[in-house]
Amino acid sequence: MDRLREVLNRVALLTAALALAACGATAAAASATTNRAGVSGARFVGPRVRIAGRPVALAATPDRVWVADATSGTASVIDDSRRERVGSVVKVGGSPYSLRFAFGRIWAANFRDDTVVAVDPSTRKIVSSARVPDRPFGLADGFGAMWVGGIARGTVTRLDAATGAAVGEPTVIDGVPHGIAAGALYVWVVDIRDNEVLRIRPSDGHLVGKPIPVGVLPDAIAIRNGVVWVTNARFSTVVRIDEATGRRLGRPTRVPARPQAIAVDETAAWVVSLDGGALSRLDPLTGRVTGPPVLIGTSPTDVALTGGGVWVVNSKDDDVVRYAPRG
Amino acid sequence: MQLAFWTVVTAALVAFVIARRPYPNYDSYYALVWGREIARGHLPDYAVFRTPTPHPLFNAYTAVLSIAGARAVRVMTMLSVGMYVTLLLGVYRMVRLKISPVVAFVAVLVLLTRTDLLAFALRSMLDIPFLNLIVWAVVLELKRPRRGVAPLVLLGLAGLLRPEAWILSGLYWLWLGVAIVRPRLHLPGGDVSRARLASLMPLVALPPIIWISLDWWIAKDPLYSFVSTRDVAGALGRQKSLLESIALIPRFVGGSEPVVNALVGTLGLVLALYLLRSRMFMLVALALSGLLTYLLIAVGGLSVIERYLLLPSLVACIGVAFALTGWMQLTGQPRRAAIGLAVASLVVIGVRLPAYASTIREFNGESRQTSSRFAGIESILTAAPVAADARRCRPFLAPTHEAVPVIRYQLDLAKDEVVASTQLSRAATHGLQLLQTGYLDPISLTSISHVQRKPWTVFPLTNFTYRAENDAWIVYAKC
Repeated sequence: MDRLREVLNRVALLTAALALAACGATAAAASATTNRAGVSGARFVGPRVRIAGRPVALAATPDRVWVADATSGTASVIDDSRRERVGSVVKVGGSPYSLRFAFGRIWAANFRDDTVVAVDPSTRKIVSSARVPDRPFGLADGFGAMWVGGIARGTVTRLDAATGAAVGEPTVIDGVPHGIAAGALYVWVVDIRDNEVLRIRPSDGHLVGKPIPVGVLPDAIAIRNGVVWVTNARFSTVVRIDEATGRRLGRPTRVPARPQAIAVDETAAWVVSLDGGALSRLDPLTGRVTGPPVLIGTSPTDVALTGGGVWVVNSKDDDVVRYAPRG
Repeated sequence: MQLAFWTVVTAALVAFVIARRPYPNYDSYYALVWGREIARGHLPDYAVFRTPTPHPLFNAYTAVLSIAGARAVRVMTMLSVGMYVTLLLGVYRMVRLKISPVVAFVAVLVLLTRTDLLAFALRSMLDIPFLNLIVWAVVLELKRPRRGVAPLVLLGLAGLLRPEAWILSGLYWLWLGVAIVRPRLHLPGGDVSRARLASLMPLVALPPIIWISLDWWIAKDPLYSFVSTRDVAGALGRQKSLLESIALIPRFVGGSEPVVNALVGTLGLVLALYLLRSRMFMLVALALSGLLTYLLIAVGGLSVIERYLLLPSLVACIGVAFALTGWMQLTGQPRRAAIGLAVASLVVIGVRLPAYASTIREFNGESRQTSSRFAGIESILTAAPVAADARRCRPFLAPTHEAVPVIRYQLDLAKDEVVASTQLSRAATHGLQLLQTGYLDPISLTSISHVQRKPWTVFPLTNFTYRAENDAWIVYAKC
């Protein structure tokens, strides 16, 4: 009888092992897929929230995600947990290429209108509008102000956080500001033309220190825990810089083609690659890639982090998705 | 009824031209630049970056137009649209003479769906006068067969616009001489004597002689047009192998609607040829000569583009018209077959209706976009800070070669004063830089093709300061 029981146990174990192996094989096949850009990774299979037009930018509040559509000049609001659009769209201006949540407001840089508007997220009404006659794009918050990079004239304008009005003369950089971020000491600006990162002293708006070279076509920037993260579209890399010393940390990390946006929290740095159609996760301490990229959609242009996960906007799929990482 | 139709067509086109700022294409703008040089008593300077093929008659035409000064661009567009209407009229007359008024009328309607031809007219391209001259040469020949001088003069003029007409002139001259070799053929229009044939020879020989002589005189190279056209075709990647060129024929013959025009058109032509035989001789000869020159162009390493198959594509539109209405002039068994073809053609056209709609939308969008881009360039050149700098700042840096003739013509600048950034091997250190605002789109800025192209063609240059912008263009300067 014991012998029979032992045989049955072995059969059961073998069956379970085979079933597990089969499941594993299926999962492996799913994760080993390759997208049209030739990037191998795990295909994203979750629900997609459709945003008509050309969604390009994201901003996350504690419970919502705002998505800007460059074609209609509107922002849509998505509930983070339900992954559904809520309420009506908000008209923000012409070609809002970037959004940011700061000082309790959603800020939109309207590239075509030369304006930066602030929207009260609860009423969804525009509460301030500042003229930044410089094709505004990059938005950062820090030192009690909003900082706006202007592409056409190469300026960085400071906006009062409370009134949304421009304060003082803009800082002129002889270059083309793309990404912009505020750290503990400086406002950091990526000059995509001259392939370097510049530092602005917030107290007087002057450029300080030597420009830091960061490869070719640097675009997005994020700062967390004293580390400046800069993406590099030409070489498809992410470069890390010590915020205090301005020195490069380690070697550049390779990600899928044309990284376009980056968001960093305590657990990871997340990078979306526009041509690669992928979302990469990097270790916040080492800057190394952890795991295969997630094949997130077509031409992702922005990434935002919420309690629910990592939100990505796919500009050519006309949708936004939330990826919930495990661990 | 006929008058009303032509009035409506003309009025609609004139309204369109008035509503949209004119936007001649690159070659036409260069013809305006060269025409002005000729009108001032100078030889046209062909040695420019990405030089378009010079066409002697077109340059003479723009030399006359340059009298209109700044308005020459609009006058040129109006005349081009006028020539488009006379082309339609010529096709109508040609088909009416050989087939029937109904087929002729439908052929005109089919041609009106050809947004590519309309675009050529609106962009003042020489293809429209070229086709006009050939179609009207055929009309004259059909009205009085073996007329000789008048068709040869028109074909000769066409041969000063595009060398393809040289072959047509030669073929026509041989056709006139057929009766001498084969007197028993009893061709319409009677015989042409050897003496008369010899007297017509200069009309065939003159266009190539004039063209080659002008090339020799102006560019110091008798084969300049051929060589430079081949070089530019290579630089723009427009050269194709013979097999590739053959594979492209259906698409090129179809023009803006390849399925209907190439498929139905060919079937219609086959039916017309079968039923009407010798009456289709001239049209088939036109199509075949067009195909022959297209293949010679491909073999010669010149640009393989749809414009070089315009004659066969024009004949294909007539084929579509015959497929739809040819049955009306037939009886018995052929009529039943023709009705079958007409029904099948209608089904194909019905299926392709969404494609027609999308082509028209596309054409409208592109036309609006290009027109506003040209309007934008004109307005930014006259914007106060730019106009002031334009008098003292050199060179004027255009983003690519395409804007160069526009700037040169609008500001009346010499060759060395306007440079395409793409032709430079490093960033300019001074001058007036014109950029398309679209280049500064934050997402486009990260495009890898930018650095592959040359960064100074995309970004504002170092130490250059912002001067002015509009929806399409932005200007920086360092004087």
